[in-house]
Amino acid sequence: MNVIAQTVKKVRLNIDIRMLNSLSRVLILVMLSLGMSLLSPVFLTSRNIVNIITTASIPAILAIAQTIVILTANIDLSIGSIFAIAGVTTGVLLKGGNIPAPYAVLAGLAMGASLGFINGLLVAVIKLPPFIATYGVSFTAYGLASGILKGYVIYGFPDAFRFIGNGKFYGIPMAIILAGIVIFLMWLLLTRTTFGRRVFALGANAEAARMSGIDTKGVLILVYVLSGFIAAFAGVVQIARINAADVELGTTLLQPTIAAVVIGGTSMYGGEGGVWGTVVGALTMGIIQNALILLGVPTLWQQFILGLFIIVAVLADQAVRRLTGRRSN
Amino acid sequence: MLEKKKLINGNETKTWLIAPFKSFPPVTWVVLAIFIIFSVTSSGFFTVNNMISIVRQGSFLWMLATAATIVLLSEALDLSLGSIMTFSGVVAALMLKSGFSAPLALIGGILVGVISGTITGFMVSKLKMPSFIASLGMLSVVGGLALALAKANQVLVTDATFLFLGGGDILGIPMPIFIALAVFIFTYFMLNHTAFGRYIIAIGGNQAGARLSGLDVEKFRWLVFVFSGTVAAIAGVVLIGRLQTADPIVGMRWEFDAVAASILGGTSTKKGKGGITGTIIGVLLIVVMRNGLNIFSFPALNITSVPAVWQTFVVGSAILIAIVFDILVRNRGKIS
Repeated sequence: MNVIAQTVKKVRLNIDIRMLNSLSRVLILVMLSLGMSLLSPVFLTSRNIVNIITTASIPAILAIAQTIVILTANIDLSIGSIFAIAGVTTGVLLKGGNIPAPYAVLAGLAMGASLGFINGLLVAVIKLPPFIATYGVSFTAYGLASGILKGYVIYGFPDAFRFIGNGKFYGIPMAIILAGIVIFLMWLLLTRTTFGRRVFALGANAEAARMSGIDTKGVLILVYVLSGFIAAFAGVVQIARINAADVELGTTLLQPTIAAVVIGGTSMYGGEGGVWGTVVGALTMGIIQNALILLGVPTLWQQFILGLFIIVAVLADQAVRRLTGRRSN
Repeated sequence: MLEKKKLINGNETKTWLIAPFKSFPPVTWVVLAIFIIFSVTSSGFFTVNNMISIVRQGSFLWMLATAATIVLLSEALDLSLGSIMTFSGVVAALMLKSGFSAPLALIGGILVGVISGTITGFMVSKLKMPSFIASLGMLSVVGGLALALAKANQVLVTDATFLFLGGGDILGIPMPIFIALAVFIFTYFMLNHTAFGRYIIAIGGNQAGARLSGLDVEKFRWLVFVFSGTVAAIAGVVLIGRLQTADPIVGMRWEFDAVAASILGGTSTKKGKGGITGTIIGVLLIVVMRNGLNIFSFPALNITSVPAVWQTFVVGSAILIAIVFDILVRNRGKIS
């Protein structure tokens, strides 16, 4: 009886700690919002809120792509470049040839998935350290995009295509709807399928996962393909939204995604976290970027502040983990 | 000894044949091949002037790659090297512009690099952040600071001392080469003949073991980043003299070239294997490739040069292929 009581108590405590960890992430979001609404009268208007969520939705899709990779205790430094090359591929096909929009979109997505496949091969089969492999692929993809564009920017896409980034469906911006779909599907995939459980198992303990018969190489390759595919999807939606594609499309997007994942509570050491945390993280990043604009911080300083924010986010995350007694190293 | 060799290689007769080449990383052959291809296809490649130009271009990457190797040896990663190089250059140029003397600007530029390295090292060793995240954060912080301080513009450098350090020469040999050589010799001595060097390798080889044997592991992991920041800063202040301007985005992507050169040169990201001598080969590979592509021509295929927009792609994929080749060759014996 005593033993059972103790176990129940332990389980309950464990749940409480987990709740506390998740709650602290939401709390940061709420406090930031409260602080901003005191500092700027514009912040809490419905127009600004919709604006924040719309702007945050494409980075959120990218952050989801990063989340699945980080869940396996790896990293994808190429998602910014894959985002760009997918946008460029789709854009060039739309403008250049008589190719129908769906095929152009498919080509962009295929480009992202194949670069993800290369990432997966390099990390899982050749066993390169993930940051080296994905950094290399990142430059290659960036180089490919600049080779295709030859320094030009392409703009002015057909309206039917622009709808997926710019349109509204029952008054809701398409970007938000698409982000919602990606988030929901990835949540299903990660929590309701065998593949999802394998991803978590791989991240928690790769050796144990391998020993228990999981095809860790296959899972890891698939994770990178998925990450490339989702990043490419975000890139395609982005060019539809801004009606232009250029090489620097994804240059400043990589680091905010890592920050969003970390703020959302997905552990850099793998096996812990998930999609919803990243959504909270992406919203937090969205609010901060909105705040920088509302408070009139010069654009020149934004890169510096974002860098500081990544560092602070990781430090805060480690502090929360230490306080709530979960592993940090 | 002979017995041991027999055991390892399983083939005694070949040992003496391979032995002298064992210390070269496998990509040495790739470098030689590229060298020969470029010499044949481009008449402007194998000339004294171009060789000096290759070495001059390479000396900056050489400095950064030496720093990157030391960090890799301690089983960490520094992605902020390129940004620190840029930042130091911008600070020195701005100090010159606002009337400081050349020595003060030199010291100021190098000092901000030391401080940046100290901060990264603190985060990695004391705050226990994964090194690639800490240095990725610093990449933005330091790079962003350079961009903001220079107001996204280039800062002209006209000071004679700086121009001499970056662009001058002694007996026909460009100054950056001497400086890079000095950095290399200092690092080589530090790595092979001081306690600090042995500690770095011990920490990289087996961190827990080093800690258990009473080593102040955190202190040395910290110092490694201070060292790499300092070297990147030296490269930065010399570079602005060479380019006669401080460009706030000049160091973009250099951190990748630096780490890639170390890995190509045989430094492993695990277990503290490798060294800064092999790194030279890695640097040569990257620099020869970049230089050769600029003047590459192949009349038979009607190629007169590789367009600048395609060079990032060609170099990026070539580096990746070289790294894969290198790993496959190294692991050849181990997998079977």
